[in-house]
Amino acid sequence: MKKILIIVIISSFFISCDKVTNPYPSGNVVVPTDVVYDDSVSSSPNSTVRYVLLEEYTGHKCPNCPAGAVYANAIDSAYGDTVIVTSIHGTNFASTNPGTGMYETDFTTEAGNDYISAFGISGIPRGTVNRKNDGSNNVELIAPPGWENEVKNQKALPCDVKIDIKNWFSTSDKILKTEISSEWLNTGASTYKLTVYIIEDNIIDWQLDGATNIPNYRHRHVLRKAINSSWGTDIPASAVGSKDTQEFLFDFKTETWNYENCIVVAYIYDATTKEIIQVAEAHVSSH
Amino acid sequence: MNKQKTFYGTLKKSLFLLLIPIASNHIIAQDDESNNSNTEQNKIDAGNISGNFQVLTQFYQPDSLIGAKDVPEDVLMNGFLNLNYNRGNFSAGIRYEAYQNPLLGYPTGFKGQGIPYKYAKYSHEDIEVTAGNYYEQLGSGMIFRTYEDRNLGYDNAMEGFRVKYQPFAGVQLKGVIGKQRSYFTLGQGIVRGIDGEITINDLFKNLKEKKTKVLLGGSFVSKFQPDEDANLVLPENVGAYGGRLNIIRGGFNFMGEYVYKINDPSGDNGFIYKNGEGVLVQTTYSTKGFGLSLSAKRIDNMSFRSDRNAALTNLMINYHPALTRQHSYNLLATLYPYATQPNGEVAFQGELIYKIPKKSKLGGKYGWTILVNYSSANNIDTTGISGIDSTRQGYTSEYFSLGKVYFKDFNIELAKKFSKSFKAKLTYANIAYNKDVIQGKSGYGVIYADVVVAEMTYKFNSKNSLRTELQSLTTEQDQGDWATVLLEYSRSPHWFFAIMDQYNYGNHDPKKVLHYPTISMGYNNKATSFIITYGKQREGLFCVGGVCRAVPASNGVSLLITTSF
Repeated sequence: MKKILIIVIISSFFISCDKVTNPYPSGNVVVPTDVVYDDSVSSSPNSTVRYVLLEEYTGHKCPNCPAGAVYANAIDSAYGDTVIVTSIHGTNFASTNPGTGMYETDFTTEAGNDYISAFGISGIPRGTVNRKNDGSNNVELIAPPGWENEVKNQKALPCDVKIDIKNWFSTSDKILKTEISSEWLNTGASTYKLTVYIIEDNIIDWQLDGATNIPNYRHRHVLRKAINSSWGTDIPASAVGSKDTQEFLFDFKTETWNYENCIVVAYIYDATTKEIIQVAEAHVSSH
Repeated sequence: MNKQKTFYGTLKKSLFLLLIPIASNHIIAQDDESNNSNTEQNKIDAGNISGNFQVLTQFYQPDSLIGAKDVPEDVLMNGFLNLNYNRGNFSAGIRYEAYQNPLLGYPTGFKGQGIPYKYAKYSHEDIEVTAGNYYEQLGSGMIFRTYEDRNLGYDNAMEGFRVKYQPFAGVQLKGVIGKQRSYFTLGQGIVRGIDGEITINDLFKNLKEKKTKVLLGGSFVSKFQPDEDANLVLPENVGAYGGRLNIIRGGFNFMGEYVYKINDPSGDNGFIYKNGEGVLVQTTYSTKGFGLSLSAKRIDNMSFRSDRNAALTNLMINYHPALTRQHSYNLLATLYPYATQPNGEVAFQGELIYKIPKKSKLGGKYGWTILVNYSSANNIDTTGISGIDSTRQGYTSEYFSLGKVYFKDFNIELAKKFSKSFKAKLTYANIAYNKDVIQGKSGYGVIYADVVVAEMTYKFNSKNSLRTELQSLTTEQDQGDWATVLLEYSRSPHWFFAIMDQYNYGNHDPKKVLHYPTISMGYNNKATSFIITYGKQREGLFCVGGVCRAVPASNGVSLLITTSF
């Protein structure tokens, strides 16, 4: 018995494995050992209703996009927390004019470019509503007037999974720790992934509106980064009752963004169809 | 002869005093104790020293026709000396190596000299402990095997500790920990492993005498390497495990092993995070005059190194047994030999040996030996994950489906002794060889070749014999047809003389229709031998057990000296 115990103890030293579910670093954050998270924000509960993510594809040189944004902002106001809007800048309309004093900010993102390529987006403004499919595994690109109708359709679908976001923020070190928890209310029939965005609201910068260059246009809900890569990380199980928690770090010191206007958006989507089945948001800080 | 004895005697004493201070102290203590009695003094056991020495030197001459490059040093040399001390349960040793500079075709990382191998080992009752360098294999080696092959320039020795322990009769445990040799330094990764093997028959009294023997084994190996990559989250601890079963009954032997490895992104697999797995099944049956073996293997993403960025044969933790025949004839062995593909391979081999008995109608006075062997290796059938692969799985694979052909070898060998003075062997091989994959080249595709070899040995008398090989390789592809003629005269026990010519008579480029002649002679005296060779070496591949080294073209004189004591 003594020999067996010794063997078991010795063996345990050799057993070590690191299973990596997300190969991509979340912002390569170096966290000081003495970091103090002095602020925290949580998302509102979404356990009964399917929330909706409206992804609006836009560009600061797109003359028709401000008109599209009007639709997006109206939906955002009308549906409150249950509809989350994200503006994704891309295509040729998002090019910059460095050194000219106009359109110098690059609002494009790696994730945004991946989606534009994957979903075949060319003309903007266009939007996806929970990345609803057109029936042939293609994400349906909807013109602004059609957004609200699809929002209503999506909200009528059952809530299969709930997402809770808990953000901790260190005001001194400008480090965000976000914890995304999910729990399945109905069994999902596919495999699912979690993607986490940081978006920034109320950025004042140039925008072309018709033929007019507006220097102080208010850009809403701008996608800044998908912090766990464009296509996210695996949700390990989708049986009813399955729970999952994933944690990500982000260092705002490396960016020029105003963290007080930044929001964490987390959504779960069907890995096959790309359809989003739940989404939640929470501000980075309470300030 | 006496001079030689004296030299070795002096060498043994000197090295013993220089190299084994701990043992020396022990001997002095014994000496002190034994001063009281001459009889006791005579019984001092000072242990013994053994070892071996080899140096291979080559003088190079450029030869633009065969592609032999100019070597700035003119002369290159590989050499080593092994020294082992043994006394009772204790042993220790070192190996000094020098490469000044490494011979062409050997990794240039060997450049230099030093003592990369040193160890001390002690065993007592049921435990054995090794500190320093050691070679070890767990199971068939698919998740752990460290070994050395000097001709390949391969050495992945561990440096650390190894413990072998037998807690009960029939149970053998091994634990290893350390870093691997990388030329004259150590790799960055730390390798840990544990293995247990149970001989079921030894555990139960009523099974001890049973004819059927059953062995069960299991291993776990992990490596640690820090994640210093800015773009990926790399697993710092990568584990692999395996289980095996061996059943033996009379001439029948079955061995099966399954291994699994968790995510191990590396340069070999393009930094994908897919798990790896492998299975090996081997069955042999042998009885007097008859032998049959059947083997199958499937490996998927099983490259396992202690440095994820290492390449070539560096810092490999595991080994994949080659299911192909190891040929020895020049054209067969070095033009199209197979190298195992750890990223994915499905391989099969069957071999039958039958000896037609002496004095039978068919066998004649001395009988015949027939060997038929077939082996094949294909890629696994994979489908790349296109578009979105956020977890970097890379591909999916069909378990029971074959991908493109890597290698096929059907060969048959007939051996016949015709008289007391004459024997002959005839070999035919048909080979399919995917040069693009096996040699990492492009544009060659799968090469099909037929090889015929006739080997004849004539003994003039008990001391003098002549051996000849006539080889032919025909193919429409690559370098075209080849022929080799070898004549080797031996005058035992000391001398041999050989002349060989390889002729690439079928090369499609008339400028490359060339002869590669060599002459060599050797002198053996007990444990010492000298071999001198002059001639042209064609470009080729040298493989042992599916592990290969490229051999560049060269021209010049080489001298090999080996001795052991």
